[in-house]
Amino acid sequence: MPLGERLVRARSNTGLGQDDVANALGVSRTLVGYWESGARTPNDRQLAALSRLLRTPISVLVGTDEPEPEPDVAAMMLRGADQDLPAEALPGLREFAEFLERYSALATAAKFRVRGMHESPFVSTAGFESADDARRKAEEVRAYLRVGLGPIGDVDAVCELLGVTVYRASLGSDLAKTVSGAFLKHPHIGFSILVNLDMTSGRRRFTVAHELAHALFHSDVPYLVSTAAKSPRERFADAFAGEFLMPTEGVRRVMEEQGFGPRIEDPSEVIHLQRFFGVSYVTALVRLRQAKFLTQARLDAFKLVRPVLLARSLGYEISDEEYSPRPDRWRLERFPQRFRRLLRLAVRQGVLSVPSAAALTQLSIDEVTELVSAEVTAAAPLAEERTELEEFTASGVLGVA
Amino acid sequence: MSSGSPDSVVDTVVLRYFLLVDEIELLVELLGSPLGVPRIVFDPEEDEDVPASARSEIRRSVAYQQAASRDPARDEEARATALRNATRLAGVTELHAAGRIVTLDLTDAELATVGRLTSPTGCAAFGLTFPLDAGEAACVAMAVARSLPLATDDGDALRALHVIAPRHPYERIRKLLMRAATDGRVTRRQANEIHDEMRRLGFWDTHAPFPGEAPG
Repeated sequence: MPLGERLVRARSNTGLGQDDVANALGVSRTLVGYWESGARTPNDRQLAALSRLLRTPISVLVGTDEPEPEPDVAAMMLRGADQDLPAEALPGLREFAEFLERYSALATAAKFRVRGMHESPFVSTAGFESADDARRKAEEVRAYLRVGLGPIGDVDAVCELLGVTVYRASLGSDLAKTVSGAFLKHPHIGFSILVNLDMTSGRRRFTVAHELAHALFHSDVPYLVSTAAKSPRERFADAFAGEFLMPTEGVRRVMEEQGFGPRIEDPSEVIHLQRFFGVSYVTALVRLRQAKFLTQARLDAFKLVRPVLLARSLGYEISDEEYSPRPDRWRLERFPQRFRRLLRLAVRQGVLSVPSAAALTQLSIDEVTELVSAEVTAAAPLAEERTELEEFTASGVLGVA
Repeated sequence: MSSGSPDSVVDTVVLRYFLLVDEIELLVELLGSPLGVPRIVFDPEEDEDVPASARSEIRRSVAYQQAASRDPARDEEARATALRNATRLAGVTELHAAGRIVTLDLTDAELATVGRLTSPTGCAAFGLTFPLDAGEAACVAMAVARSLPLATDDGDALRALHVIAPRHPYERIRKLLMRAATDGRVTRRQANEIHDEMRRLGFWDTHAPFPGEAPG
């Protein structure tokens, strides 16, 4: 089979169009058409870039190897979803499945203990899957983690503590049609979560908590794909995530302390609560309505508020990812912290070289170099940090347990 | 377009670090002019607006360092270092214009070797647990097929080279610096200083060329 036909097949497998390929490679759509028809041939740099983009080895593109006959987990996940999903979600699902395989292979080669969760410590029984059950279980998980009623600082760190792997990939920005997240049980890595990077930061955080619910309570199935379609399990996971991130009693306590309520009357109060618990404005509205701190009339009125502008006017620092996702900025950060530690360890142990690590992760040599040699290149502490340390030393608190 | 016949094939790592420490002329002196680099490593014909993920490896490095030089999360010194790195790496274009570097295109046979070296399943035949980076694989394939010495500091690429052609000549950065001192191009102390500077920029080889000779 000629190169052009192999390119067409690889592109079809990823669900990308000729326009997508052209944009990713910085060439015209016409040129991509020429490559596929065999009228022209991509140069070596373009071929390497096509291999990365289409997640197809060069050997398959040039015809020295046939595609792997392994089961396509990503395609199964796509087909297994509760609604028809756009093909644009497939590359991200495939990236997730491949990442888990590579993580597993690297951990084995480096003799690294992944410490993944393979069995939930929580009880899950049919018939106890109502929204009230979900909220009760969120309280149980909070109690297990000993986080009280306060905000969950870093939801990724919570997952790592539990042994749940979190990976991020682009799955498409039309959230009514595409995937917001997914849960997959990997035989070696354990419970793993995928989060769509094409969502605002608040929604990503909610998705991590939503997928965590699947991991902790729905691990009787090998995978679950979360979409806008709401099966009972999806509704359970939504209710869990809301209570987990913004517990009713915690909200009540903050409202009392801040002098809000007993009913929320002003959208600025929603902003304060949203910021305190680190959720999106919409999540905060829904949670406040569910807990009956907000009337339906107020909810309807507050929906019209522009929360980022209001938050800024109230003095909150705004990150641009709160209103405009930038998945291209997520490079090394897409990977879970534990995997990043493994990558450093593996390179330092000589299990793989820096360029091989770059190939494995699709990062650049510069990114891997920075990750691996962080200690070597780290600048001296800033003057302000030195002063702080000196103050601690002078106060005698160092050395006191 | 390629011009001249190279005396060696140089990988991204070697090219990158000699550019970063502003000693690319020393590398050219040691390996002979022009240096041969695969198009995956440096493509003089790629447009400026090619997305980062589709760029040649050296241009990807330039883009990364340029972005780092504007990154508010880095302190002033780190941003200045990144800007200097970007400027030095971008010097590869002038070297190419001056004919000191030539870009090499893979033949069909070399491309087949690259395919095997970068294949998740095929790479095991070369003693590799994980596939080689495409740029490294191209360097190995070209060096062997064209009987040119390979300049690399990628342990995985060398492992594959030893399987494909056990006696094939190769150069590592430390070895090059030792030769530079032996040839009288630099002093032993200067060789150590160059190595030390590379180390500060992230180079992973912890052994100085002349361990008894402290860098200045």
